[in-house]
Amino acid sequence: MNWEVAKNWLIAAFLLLDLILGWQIIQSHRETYGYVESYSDLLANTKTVLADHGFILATKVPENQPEIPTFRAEEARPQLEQMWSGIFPGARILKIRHRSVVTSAGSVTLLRTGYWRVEYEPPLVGIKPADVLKTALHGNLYVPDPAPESAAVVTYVEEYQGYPIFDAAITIHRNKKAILSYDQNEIVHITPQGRAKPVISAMDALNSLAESVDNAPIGVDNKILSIQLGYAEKTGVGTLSSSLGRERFWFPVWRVTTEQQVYVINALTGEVDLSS
Amino acid sequence: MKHRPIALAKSIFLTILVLVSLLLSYWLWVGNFENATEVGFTESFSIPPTTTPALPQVSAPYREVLAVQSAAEVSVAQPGSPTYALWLNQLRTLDVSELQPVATFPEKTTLQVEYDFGTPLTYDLLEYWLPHLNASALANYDGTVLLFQTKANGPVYLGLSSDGSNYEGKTNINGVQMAAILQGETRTTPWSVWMTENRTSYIPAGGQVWTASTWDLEEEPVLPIVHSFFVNPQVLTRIQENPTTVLWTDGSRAVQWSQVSDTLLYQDPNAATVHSTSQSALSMATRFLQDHGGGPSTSYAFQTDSAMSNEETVRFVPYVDGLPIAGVNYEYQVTIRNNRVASIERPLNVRGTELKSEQHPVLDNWKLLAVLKEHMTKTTIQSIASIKLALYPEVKGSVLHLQPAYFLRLSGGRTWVVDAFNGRILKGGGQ
Repeated sequence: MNWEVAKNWLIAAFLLLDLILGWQIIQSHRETYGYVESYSDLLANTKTVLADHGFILATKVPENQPEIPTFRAEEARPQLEQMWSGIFPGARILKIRHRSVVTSAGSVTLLRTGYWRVEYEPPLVGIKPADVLKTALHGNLYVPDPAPESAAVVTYVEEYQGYPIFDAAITIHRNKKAILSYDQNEIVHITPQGRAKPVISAMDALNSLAESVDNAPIGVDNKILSIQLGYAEKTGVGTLSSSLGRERFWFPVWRVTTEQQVYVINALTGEVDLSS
Repeated sequence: MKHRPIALAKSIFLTILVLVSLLLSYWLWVGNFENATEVGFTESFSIPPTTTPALPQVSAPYREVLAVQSAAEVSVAQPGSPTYALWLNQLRTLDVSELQPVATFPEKTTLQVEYDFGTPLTYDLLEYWLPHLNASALANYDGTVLLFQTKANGPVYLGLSSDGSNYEGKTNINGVQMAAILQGETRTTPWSVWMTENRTSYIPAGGQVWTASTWDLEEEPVLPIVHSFFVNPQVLTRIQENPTTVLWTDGSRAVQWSQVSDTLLYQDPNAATVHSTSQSALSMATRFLQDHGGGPSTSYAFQTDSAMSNEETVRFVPYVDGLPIAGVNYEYQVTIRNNRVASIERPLNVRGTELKSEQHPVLDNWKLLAVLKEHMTKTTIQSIASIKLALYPEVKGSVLHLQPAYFLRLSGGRTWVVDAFNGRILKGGGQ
């Protein structure tokens, strides 16, 4: 056979081989990276799934999906004697009891470890709820709770690295004219555990909620008012070491506030916390 | 030469094509290789489901009590013995007719075989152990199944208890043959009965021979088992609680490794809502263990319903040479709450190969009593609530020695352990 003719055949054969190999590579790329659905398509899907289970999505769904760590913390144990003068500046002491202090401007009561209640007597008139933070213990650590506020209650939450800690809050009780009282919960000595880990998307959290909670039998649609990423303490996790004095851990969660209930969804695994 | 440039161009083109094909094959290979390592990374930490513990096996009776009542002779068939297999086979090939509810079983029987099951028998299990019983109307037998004869050479009856009611049916067993087998058995391997206030204990009599064995302990790798409990092991947080305990958690579940006892404890605190399922606690527990590292190849399940409603605990107790290994550190314990596995406690070191075994006669009840009289006061002996022959585990380094021993539980809750070969006090002592 002539070498030139053989070259022609070889060129044809290798061309075919290259095409096949190239096709294979493109195929495997597609499989690996997948066809990515657009945000609006995903949102439409999620809305349909939610609607099937009796939820109406009435809020913007966050698109961020950061990496955040789990942390360990302790409840604050402030001393009553050191607290009251900051909370009621310029007031006189009327009575000191074991767990409460009564002053001319109101009272502070320790409810349990890490929790205390401040009552204004007379109620504070003419100030905004945010002004309460100025006199509250470590009030500068608290930010407004992103959940919609109600007429009677305004909530501020502690923050860790820009994410709200949903169960460390200042809950202010008010009526139309005045601020009556607030309950405060503070956690301190926050230490991250291990490296930061990627959280699931808000959309996945909502899908997971729809799968595990069904409102349809109630007959009334449950409106989802807000969804935010933050921290919540997981009870039960630390109880394994109960004999050693319980360690307390906070985990990344998506909190979904609806008209009827607040759901907490584990932002690492997507599991809906049904224990409470 | 006129067409030389064309030939040269063709050669160059061919070379390029060959090189491109090489490059493409390399990419394809590398791409697959990378995918493989990615998958392989998670796969290396996942464990395949095992076949142990296996469901019908763990539900088998943990002992059979054979009695010739007329002669007040008793024998106990422990798992693994030929007698045990014979009577279990008898149960599985039994034909029962005229099954009907009765108020109570007859108090006086001439012959009796009592099958002691550690767990309630659901319909599926009952059908497995008594395939010829047409019991579709009945469900949830509690742990006892009886074969008995009420008069010499008479018919043999089957007795079952279900939800507090008793059932009795006629079997096709030949009463004369049964008498002959039981009489032979109670004479060659007699056991004596130790009656206490509310319990009957059985003690081997007549110089029976039991086996002490020594085993190599193998440490199961911790991480694959830990990871098998979590949806996404990549988001696990590892917490060193103190120098000897490590906790892994993803915020929904937690696994604790206690290095002192070398056990793993898994907890699912989310098990609060009621899940409806048709699975029994035993099959759920068995399946869960199979999926998370498996359990001992020969074990018998014991189920206890806790005081809390909707909670059952299933203990898988490993048996070696017909005797249970005593001690919670060798048991696999699964708690089911609201039809969901709420916690598991399991050992991490498992028996490997058998290094040696020796057989010796064990103390009978009189010799045991003599040993007890040396070490205990009369009131202490009277306060014994139960006596059980079991294996006393002793760990030296990575070697496990299993010694047949009598476990004596006193009514105060204290336990004495007496070496069944030589009467040495292994645990307890003092008064």
